[in-house]
Amino acid sequence: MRYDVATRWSVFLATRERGRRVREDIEQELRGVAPGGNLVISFAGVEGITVSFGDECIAKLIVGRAAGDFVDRGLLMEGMNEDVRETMEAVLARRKVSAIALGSSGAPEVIGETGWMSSTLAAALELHSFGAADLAGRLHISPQAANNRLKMLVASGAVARELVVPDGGGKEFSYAIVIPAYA
Amino acid sequence: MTLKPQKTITVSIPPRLADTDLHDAMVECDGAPCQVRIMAGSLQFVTPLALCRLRALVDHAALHAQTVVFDPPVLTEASNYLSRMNFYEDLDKSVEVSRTPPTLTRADRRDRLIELQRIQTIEHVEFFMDRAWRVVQPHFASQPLAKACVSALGAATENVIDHAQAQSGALVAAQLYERIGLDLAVVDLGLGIPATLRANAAFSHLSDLEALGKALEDGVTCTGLEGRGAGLCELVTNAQRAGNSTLVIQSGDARISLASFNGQSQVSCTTAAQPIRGTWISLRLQPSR
Repeated sequence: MRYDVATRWSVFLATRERGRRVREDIEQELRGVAPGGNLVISFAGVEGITVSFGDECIAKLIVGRAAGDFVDRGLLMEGMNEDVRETMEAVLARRKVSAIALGSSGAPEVIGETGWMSSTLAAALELHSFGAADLAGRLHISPQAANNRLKMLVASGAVARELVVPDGGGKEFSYAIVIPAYA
Repeated sequence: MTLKPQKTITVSIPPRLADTDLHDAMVECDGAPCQVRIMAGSLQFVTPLALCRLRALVDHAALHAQTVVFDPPVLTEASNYLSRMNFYEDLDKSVEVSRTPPTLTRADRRDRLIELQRIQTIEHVEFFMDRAWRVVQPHFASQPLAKACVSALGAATENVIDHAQAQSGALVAAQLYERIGLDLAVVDLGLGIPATLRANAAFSHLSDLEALGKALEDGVTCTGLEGRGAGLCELVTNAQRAGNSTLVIQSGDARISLASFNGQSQVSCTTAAQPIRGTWISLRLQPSR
């Protein structure tokens, strides 16, 4: 599914109140996305945003995902011009979170707090559908470190998380890439 | 029964409008006079900031007095400028203009002027950013720099919606001059930045000047919430990024001027003899080429 910000709202977006309204509208759309699906927020045609808008709208969506909201479906961004992207990078970095921007070819890129996120995303793209142990093995890191990275990867919107009950009982999470060109 | 004497206040506007003139006039208006007479006949020099301040005074007087009489500038250029910048539009019904403002043949100046606008809603901020974009975009060498300018203007105005609690919102006006570049003003008569920041106990001890300086730092907020406190920092950084600029922010008795020329920055912090109401922002920006 695609959410076109410029068509629904405005080509310039400012204030926290506007950010809150757009975020709540996006959350409403996310409720209609099936588990394992994705919502692509298109900023095509948006000329500029302020930090306040970006923080209240996108950063809070990502923070919400980190707290467990809509984690069984994907959330991605595309069509950002240089200015919007720069503001978005600043907004996400201030909150120490990341999001995924799709390029014109559909290739994903981590924006915001990057660090080890890019290599983790690359590993997740190769694995496609996986558990925490798979990621730990691929990246040669401890299971605990893999879980920490997965928490941020899920929050970024690139990966959906699903609770599964293994044959032997208990519970664990499985992860799947939900980026359109790679899903 | 005793009748209170009817009080009339006369405010004489000098050829160039000064902060102290406005402060004294506004304090007098607070006393709920019967009539306020604003005598602007001598006014000769009107910048976007002076335009916004003068209209703010008229609006403030209209909130407190039963009637307001505005005497327009005698000088044709000043009088025409007020008309061209829509100074007389949407005046409160209690305001009487003592001489009929000039009727102008209005040329399309959308690429040079942003006429006086009131900012009270989100839509006003976004419309203003769109108007500013049309003014600045042709004059910048690159679109990102033009966008930085518009982002600065957005940050300057959205604070009014998010924080100022100004009864009449904010007034904005801008003009692009050949020689000095963009001259823009944002004036509100709300709480003011120092008073807003001091609502946070961590900053309650700060003077106006200290609070205003603190508020310009990234992450400093009256709310104490994570992710907040970026707006004024965004204004400063984008103004400096967009080109050679002079940004002046006045609030309470604090006045901070941030000049940036060819990558060199200079900051001047002063305490005024008289505090001002709300927050007044003036930005002069010579686009980078």
